[in-house]
Amino acid sequence: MSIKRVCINLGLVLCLAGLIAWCVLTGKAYDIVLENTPTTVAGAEQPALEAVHVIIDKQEPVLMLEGDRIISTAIGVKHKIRIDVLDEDDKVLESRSHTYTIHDLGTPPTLNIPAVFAASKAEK
Amino acid sequence: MNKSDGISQFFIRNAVPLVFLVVSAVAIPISQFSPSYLIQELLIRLSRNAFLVLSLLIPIMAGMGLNFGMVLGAMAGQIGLIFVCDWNIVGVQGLLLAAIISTPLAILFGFLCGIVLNKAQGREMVTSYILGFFMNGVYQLVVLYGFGSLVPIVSAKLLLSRGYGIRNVTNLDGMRRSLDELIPLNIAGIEIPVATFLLIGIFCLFVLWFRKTKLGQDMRATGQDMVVARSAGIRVMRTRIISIVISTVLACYGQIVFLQNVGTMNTYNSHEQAGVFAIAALLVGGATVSRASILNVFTGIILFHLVFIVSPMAGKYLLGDAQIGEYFRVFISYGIIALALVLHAWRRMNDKERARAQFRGAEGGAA
Repeated sequence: MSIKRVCINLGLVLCLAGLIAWCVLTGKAYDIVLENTPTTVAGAEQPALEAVHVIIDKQEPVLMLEGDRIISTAIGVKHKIRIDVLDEDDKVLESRSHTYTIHDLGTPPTLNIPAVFAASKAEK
Repeated sequence: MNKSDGISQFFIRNAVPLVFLVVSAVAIPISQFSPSYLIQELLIRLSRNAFLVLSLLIPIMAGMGLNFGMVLGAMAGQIGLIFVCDWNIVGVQGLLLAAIISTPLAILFGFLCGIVLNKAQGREMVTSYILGFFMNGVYQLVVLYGFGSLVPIVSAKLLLSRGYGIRNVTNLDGMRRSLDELIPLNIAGIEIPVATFLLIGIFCLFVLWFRKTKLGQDMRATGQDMVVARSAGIRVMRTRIISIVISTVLACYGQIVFLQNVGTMNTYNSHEQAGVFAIAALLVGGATVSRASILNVFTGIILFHLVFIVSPMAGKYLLGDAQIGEYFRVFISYGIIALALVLHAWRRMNDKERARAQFRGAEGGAA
């Protein structure tokens, strides 16, 4: 087999490996536990939020009340979560967003909404 | 050949599509479906089935008849989908990964099928049909007993409660219509699966291009006369195996496209229907065991599925029972294959007799 042919075959194998890696990294769906429960961040108590809309990537908003614990699905490794704090009339009081990778969340992947809210920046 | 002979030849050659055209023309008004509903349904079914039916063209070109062994490819595609479901990979990425995983399996199945069919020259169709049954048994054994025990499957959603074996129905929710909706297009309330049609278009171009390649020409030569092809230096057996391998791999992709559209997979039965319905659709389009074109594929799918769509409602309005239409569907799919095979045998006999008569005439003239 000529060197040219070996190189072409090697290139094809690498392309295929790259394609597989892309499929797995961007297509794998993870179940994430979202919990709106009180927590402690760096010694400071973070109370549960009364009512929030949680939006992961471009998915439909999920309404979470104080003490709620639900399972959501996120596709891929890197995600952006947006938390909209709602008032009594379900109007958005404040929005904050946070970017995370699935590996930051531990096993099983869990996102504590008050902790994320405290750590994230307010959206303009 | 005089004019009346020409007309009768036309009717004989196109008997099946003409019958379907008449049945559709009668059944459409009776079914009372709106044109937009019919168009939507036809587009869905065209995008769902075209890939599978197109995969039958290459073996016909190589003279191997209708590849009933395409169910082997469908099985490979389903195995790929089971793995992807287990790993929880969704969307187009899931479909792509399923295709990548199942390709080597489909190549292996196609190769084995090709070897067996080479041993059964002249009886390829019945051999591939029985081979499909045999491999179905192997598939069921592997999926029912091997998956979860020998082959690691972690998802409890897929496994039977006993801990091994895949459930009867595999949910493809994560991949459902992901290819169809990749490029969304809605015209007058009719959803058009653009990405799937693009893929089908690429496949058609591939078939057209393939016919012009050296391998494609070899296949055509092999299909016309194996002895002549062999004397011309063509490696006939190898060419036949390649045609079956290509068909099996394409059937594997076709089954993945089909199942993403449906959204659920009947783990132990989905592949069984793939072969019969694809072959019936191709035959309805006017193809024969020895001649098929892309036009036959699309005509066949449209006519065959048009009857499929309208027959239950037509049956309900005519006879008060939609089940009659359902029986009619099953009767049609198997009946049409039988009819096409009988017509093929009859036509071949007629051609032989005509050739013999011409030869005698020429001999008589020479004497």
